[in-house]
Amino acid sequence: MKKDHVMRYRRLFLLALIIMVQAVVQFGLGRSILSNRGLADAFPTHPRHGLTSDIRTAYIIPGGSSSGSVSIFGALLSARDVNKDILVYDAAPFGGYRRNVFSGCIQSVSNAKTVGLGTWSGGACVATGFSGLGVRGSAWPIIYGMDDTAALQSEVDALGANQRLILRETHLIHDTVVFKNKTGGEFGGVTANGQVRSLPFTGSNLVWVGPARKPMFKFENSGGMYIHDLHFVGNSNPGNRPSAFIDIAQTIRVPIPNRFAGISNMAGGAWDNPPGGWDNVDNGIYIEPGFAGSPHEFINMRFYNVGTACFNDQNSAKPGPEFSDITCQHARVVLYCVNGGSVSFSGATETLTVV
Amino acid sequence: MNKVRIALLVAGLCISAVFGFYNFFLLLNSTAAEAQASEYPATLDGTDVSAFGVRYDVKLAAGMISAGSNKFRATSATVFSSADVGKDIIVYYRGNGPMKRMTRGNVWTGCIGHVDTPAIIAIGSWVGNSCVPSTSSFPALTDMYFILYGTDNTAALQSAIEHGGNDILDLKGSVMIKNSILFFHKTGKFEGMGPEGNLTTATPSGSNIIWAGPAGIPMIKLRADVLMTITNVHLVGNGNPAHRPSAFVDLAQEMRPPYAGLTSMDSFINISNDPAGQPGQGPFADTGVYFDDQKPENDVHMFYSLRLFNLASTCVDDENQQSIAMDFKDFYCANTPVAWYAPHGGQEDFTGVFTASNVGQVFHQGRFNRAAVDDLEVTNTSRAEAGYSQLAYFESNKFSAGGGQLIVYKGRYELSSNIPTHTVTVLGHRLTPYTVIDTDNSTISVIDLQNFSFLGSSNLPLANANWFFNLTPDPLRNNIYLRCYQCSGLSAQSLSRIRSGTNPSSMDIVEIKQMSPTLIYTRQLLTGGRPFIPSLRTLRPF
Repeated sequence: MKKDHVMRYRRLFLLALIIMVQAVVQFGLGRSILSNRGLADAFPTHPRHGLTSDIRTAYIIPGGSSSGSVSIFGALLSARDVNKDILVYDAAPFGGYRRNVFSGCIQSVSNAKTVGLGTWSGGACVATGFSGLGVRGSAWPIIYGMDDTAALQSEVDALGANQRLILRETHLIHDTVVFKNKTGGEFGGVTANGQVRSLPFTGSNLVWVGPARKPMFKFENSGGMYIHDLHFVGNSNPGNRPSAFIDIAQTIRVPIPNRFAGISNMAGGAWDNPPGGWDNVDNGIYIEPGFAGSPHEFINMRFYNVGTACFNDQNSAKPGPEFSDITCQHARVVLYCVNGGSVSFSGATETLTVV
Repeated sequence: MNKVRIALLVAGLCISAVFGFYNFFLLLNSTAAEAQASEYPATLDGTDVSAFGVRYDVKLAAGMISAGSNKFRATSATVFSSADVGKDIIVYYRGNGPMKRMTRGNVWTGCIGHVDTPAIIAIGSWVGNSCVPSTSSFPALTDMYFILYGTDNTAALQSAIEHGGNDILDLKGSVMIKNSILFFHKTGKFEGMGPEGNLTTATPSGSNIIWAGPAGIPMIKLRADVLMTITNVHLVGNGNPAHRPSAFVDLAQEMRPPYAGLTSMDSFINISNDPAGQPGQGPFADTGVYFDDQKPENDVHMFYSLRLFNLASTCVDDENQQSIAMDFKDFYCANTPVAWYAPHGGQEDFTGVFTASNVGQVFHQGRFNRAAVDDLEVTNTSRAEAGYSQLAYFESNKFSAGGGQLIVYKGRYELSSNIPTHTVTVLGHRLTPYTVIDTDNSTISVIDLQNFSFLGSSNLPLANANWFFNLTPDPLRNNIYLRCYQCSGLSAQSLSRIRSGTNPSSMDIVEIKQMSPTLIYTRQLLTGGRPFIPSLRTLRPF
């Protein structure tokens, strides 16, 4: 009888121990779940993977050679500047704005004042001749800085479904950043507005230094993402004008569409993007042809100086994208949609000078 | 040995229970928090404004003030210190009401002039930036009062905006201000924790901006901003007429570089002045959102989940003729004389659901202001509000011809017993008694109601209603297009005051398609003084 009591107590004790351990584990698990729930700061909100935003401005001295070697005011340059992106703007101001006349890279630095210009060929900066300098008599503004294409791509690749990345500065890119097979996550900035004319720049700016006919951002079979508050800076140089700010390519219909809110190339923010100025991009949003589009949501889209269409939907899927609260100014076409499908507009739509 | 094991058993069970309950509590709170998370959750990615000197030190205290005295004696013995001198203070009359029921009005707004003891302060007034002890006989009655007090953060908050307004700024607590906060040439994000706040506990919760300033100026001003975002903030106005702000948000897009000529496109998301968690009694501001008339510039703003309560004049006062493409998504306006006032024209969309609860006049339009509403829900559960009840009024004014255009794709209008039975003057215009739609404009107005119901209420059953649309010429001319398609609730009485003018340029088109409660199925062109005849039916009117 006494032995039975002992056994019973042992069982009870074992039971209590199990319950206690279970409670502690659950407690820890619960806290773990809570700390990672939603879009909490499980992912750093500061750039990783080498994002630099190391950008400077300067002026080219008039009368430089046409060989691609140019001199700038001030002894600003060093060997560290080789392979940085560079944007050169016209000497002739147009209402305070200047067209982009060269976009490429710094191929060499001869001395603190002299650089050799180059163009990107894959990942290499190749020397190029650049005619035109020395013709005009006043200084040519330039922007140069570290190319963040690879770093930004690494950030995107590492971004998890329930994680967030907020860009707070300006990043130069010379190739498309691809969001491939993403199933969620937040990629955003501070505001859809920005300026990259004089330091310090403001806003979350993505500046295109790449070739023409390529989009700045491309979404391949990605859904459930929240992309917001980004200022895209296209390029007025026809040889460097991006095909789109955002290109959506889908071979499958994603179960949860992406949500884009607060995307702009706000006029006035860049040397070559005046109100009513030169085309900076072929399309604001481009949705590639196919049958597997998704009803992505686009809110607060503000596009200016667009070469073809602010919204170019080549996809025939139904239901198609929804656009809410949009601006399209100085574009050939607001909505270009010739392959069927459906598009919804809600909220306020502002279109000015669409020709 | 057995006692030891029993003790261990009990301890184990106790620990298990404690952890279990705590775990349950965490999950419960998490669920509640997630339930509160709206379509526009707060994320707080930015720099806390406290980094710029803003102090979250607003507190609530209860106590007594003797008649004719300016001394507040706290119920608790140790409340104040010398550091509280110069803080903003708002005094609310409590009387014998329960602790949580602080619906009595604000009787004094000023500052703490002196701390006599840890329980007693002298209340003062701001004279410039100096706090001067009050000499007025305040209050008239010896009674119980509540006070809200805290550091005046006007300068610190303004400094935060000046230095960080182009980036993300986070408001993570409650602040008191006594002057307008200005966003000038900003393009960043100002975000709080949510549109609700609780100021009825000793230490408030939420992102509350509390107004302790004078009357006649707004709490937040935006000038020449582009793509600025303000989100998840609770705005606490002031019910004292001498301290009632002119607006919560005041907008103008001025002609100054670098944004001259550009539209503004600011976003206001999850903004509220919900009084449920605050002391005092409304009206808490003259108007919710005010648009200045800056003629050459456009307002293309977005307001998502703007929820306004208890205002003196209007929820939105749009004076800008160039406010051409604004979106109010899920707009809520309650207990206010006029929900939407736009006398200078402009155009706006109300996407989502526009709810007007106990609002005297839902739309008051002029200069052919154009409003389109996805879903309009008008409820009138109170007899007390505003003294009148109209769906729309199209005014004549000095700016230009044209009344207004109201298009509703779906909705309902609940009648209130406050439909005026005698002439009432609102915003300078005399309302015709018994009217739900009214105008004093002799030129074009368009009313297009689709899938729309007129309903009786507990205050005024439909059968007893004596209401009507007043669309008569003024004096000899009108140009009205009225359509109610898939309508319900209209009667011969409600349509009995529609008539064209005798002036040759006068012409009305009226189309009504209603199956219940009275079949009205007609389309009529009215000219030469001809009245609309509700009973006239044709086999194929459409």
